[in-house]
Amino acid sequence: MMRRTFIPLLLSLLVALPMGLRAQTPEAVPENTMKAAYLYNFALLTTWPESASASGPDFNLCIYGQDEFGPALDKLNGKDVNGQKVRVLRLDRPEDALRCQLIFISDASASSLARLTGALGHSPVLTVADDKPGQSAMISLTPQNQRLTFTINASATKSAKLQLSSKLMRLAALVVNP
Amino acid sequence: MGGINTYIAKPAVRLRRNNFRLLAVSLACGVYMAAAQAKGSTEVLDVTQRPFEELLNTEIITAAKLAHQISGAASAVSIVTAQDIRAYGYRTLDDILSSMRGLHMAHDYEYAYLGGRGYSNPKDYAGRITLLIDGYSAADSFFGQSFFGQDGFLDVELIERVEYIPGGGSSDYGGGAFLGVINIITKKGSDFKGTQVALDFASHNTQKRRVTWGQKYDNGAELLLSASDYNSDGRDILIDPVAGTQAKAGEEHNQRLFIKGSYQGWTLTSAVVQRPIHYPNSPSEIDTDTSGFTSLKYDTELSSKLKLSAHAYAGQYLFDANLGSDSPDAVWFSTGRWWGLDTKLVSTTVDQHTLVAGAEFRDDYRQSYIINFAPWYVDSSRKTLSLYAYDDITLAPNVQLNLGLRHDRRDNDTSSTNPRAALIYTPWAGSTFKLSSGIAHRQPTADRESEWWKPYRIERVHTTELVWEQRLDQSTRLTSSIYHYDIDQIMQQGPDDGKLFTKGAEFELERQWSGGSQLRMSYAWQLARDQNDQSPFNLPRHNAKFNYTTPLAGEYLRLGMELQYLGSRLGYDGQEVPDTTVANLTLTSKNWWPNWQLSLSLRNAFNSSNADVQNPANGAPTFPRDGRNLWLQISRDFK
Repeated sequence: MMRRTFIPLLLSLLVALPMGLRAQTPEAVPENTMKAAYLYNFALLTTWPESASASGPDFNLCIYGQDEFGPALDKLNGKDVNGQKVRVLRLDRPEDALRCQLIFISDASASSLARLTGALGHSPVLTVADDKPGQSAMISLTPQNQRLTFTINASATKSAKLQLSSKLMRLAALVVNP
Repeated sequence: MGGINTYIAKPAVRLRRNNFRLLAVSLACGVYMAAAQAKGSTEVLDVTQRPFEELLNTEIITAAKLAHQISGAASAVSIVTAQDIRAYGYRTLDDILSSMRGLHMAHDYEYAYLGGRGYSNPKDYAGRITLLIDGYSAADSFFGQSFFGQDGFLDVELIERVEYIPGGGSSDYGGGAFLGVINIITKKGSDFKGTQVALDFASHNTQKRRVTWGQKYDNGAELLLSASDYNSDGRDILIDPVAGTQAKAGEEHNQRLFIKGSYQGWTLTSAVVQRPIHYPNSPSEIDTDTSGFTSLKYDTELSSKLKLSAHAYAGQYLFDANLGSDSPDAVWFSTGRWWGLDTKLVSTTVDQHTLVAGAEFRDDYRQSYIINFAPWYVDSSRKTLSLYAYDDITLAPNVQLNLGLRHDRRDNDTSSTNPRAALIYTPWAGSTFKLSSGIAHRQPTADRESEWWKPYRIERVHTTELVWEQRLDQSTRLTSSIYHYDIDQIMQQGPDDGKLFTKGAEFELERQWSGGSQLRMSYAWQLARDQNDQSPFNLPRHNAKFNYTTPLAGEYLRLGMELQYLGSRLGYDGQEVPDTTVANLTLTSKNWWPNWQLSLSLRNAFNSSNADVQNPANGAPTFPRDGRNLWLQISRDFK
């Protein structure tokens, strides 16, 4: 008895569920679009040492590893960052990272991360990554309560001679000096 | 024998038909849901125009990402994350591993036993895989057992992710990592930022209580403390269908403590678990497993291209069987005590190379076994010095060569050297091929050593695997793998110490949607033969999984559904145990009421009959598994 009514009930529930009930606020933004916007804002609110920014007319915003952004990141192409034009580059060789002003390190294995940070040394490249065990980027992104927050590793930005604006420091969820 | 035959043959007919219908309906459901989701909006907003402050307060639609493996292993790694644990209502490591491609669990109501590529022997105490908790090898030193149930170290709420790495891992982790490695990464204080209190209620009069406190301080220090206990009355099972013998099974209690702290490069982890359980075959017997460890790690950068990592650890394990008869001498203890030190350097000074070199010393200074009623006493010790070196070489931008070698030297003259090599090739964006080959070994456990009259051998396995990972688009991944394992001098429980040849193929499809839905389905096929061309028992040829989770009302309400198909396999008596499909459904609610979280699971939702193959020592070819049962968890955060 129980079994006969139970299964159809459950199945109809399962089929009906995706149709209704979706209650997302209309203004909510897909995470990747939001991340791309954050990268742009990080670029705006950071000052690079003379040697780095004088390299050319382009602001090289790079992504290393698997590209999860899709078109969201390409929207940044050509935007103005303190007089330079954003150029989005997708890299798969750690050595190429030295050409970037800002690099987003996508999900990557520990060894490829080690190679990348090894290749960068203390070069003035702002590194950004998702907050995950084993990653050591200057800015890490964490989704929290359906918002995107970020943590700044101040000693890492300092040794790379990057100057983060006080506004950026204030908006960070946490500033650490490990 | 005839009686046993009718016992398993009857449900077989009913099961097969049910299984097929269940699988078909569920698959149709899943595909329908996937299609419904795919239509979702993909519009790209220009949010760069908005002020940063406003963005920080704008809600995001979380992209449930395809998890990417952390370990550099070239085999087809499976990953379960904290989100999966919540969405599918996993309660133990046993549940987590059961959901992974190609794995299956067997239970005898005392322990849970893992089966995978080329291994499946219940009562093997998981002795052919290594379980790592934040890099600490968590097996006991007497039985070489890793614990997956309520006897394990961790409440699943403390787990950030679990990776299962199939294949020989001796070149990285020494003798225990014979056919696989389970790598657990635990959460940090910052994952809690306050106190979390959780109460669980489940079938068979089961309750669990847990308090966890975690914090991250401005100086970067993190602290996590957690304590829990668990009580279950168990259930009556039919252990001998011929005689109609019933037994109480799974009456257990546990207590756990977990501490983790980190400051600058230092990380301290410590855990204790104690679990007494009534042994189903002899109702008055109570078996108690007590495990504990402390691990201290230090990571530092000597220069921008040279890192140092040091790891000191100590552990203890006690097994205490109180046979419960009138005689006070009817007890039996096993004790293992050990400590070790592991240091390694990671260098990227040479272009295109990531070099690792290290040494580990481990002292298993106590491995004892006492039977008072016999009386009998055995004590042994074992010292192991290991040297290892790895090199990850970038041959070309899209070609990588990984090499590894580890030498383990023991003071009992059972030294072993284990190499591995892997070629990783990305011919074009989205496709990765990994070809790997390696040798692993397994040293007999102290338990086996104490049975001095049996042959004493080091088991060896040679593994070869080809993995093809294909990104079909940004959010869809297809993983395929074919492998071949050759085991030499395998020591089974029986008298036949011989060879085992295993070959297999596995496929897995993972897809995520920007709305937060996720699909994972896998199929694993394997064929194993021993030196007499016989199939080992409890090794299914077919194993399939289906997992789908979707938010129903933002993250406020989420549904997780799971199907696990396990093909027929042989019992030790040579009889076929029929295939079975189990469905689990979980509803979770997060912050519907601020800071409250709810999770309700209906396990074995369709009440499929379902049995676990047993070891001959248990006296029956199979034990029945639980029918439909419920689990409810209520938790509250205090921030």
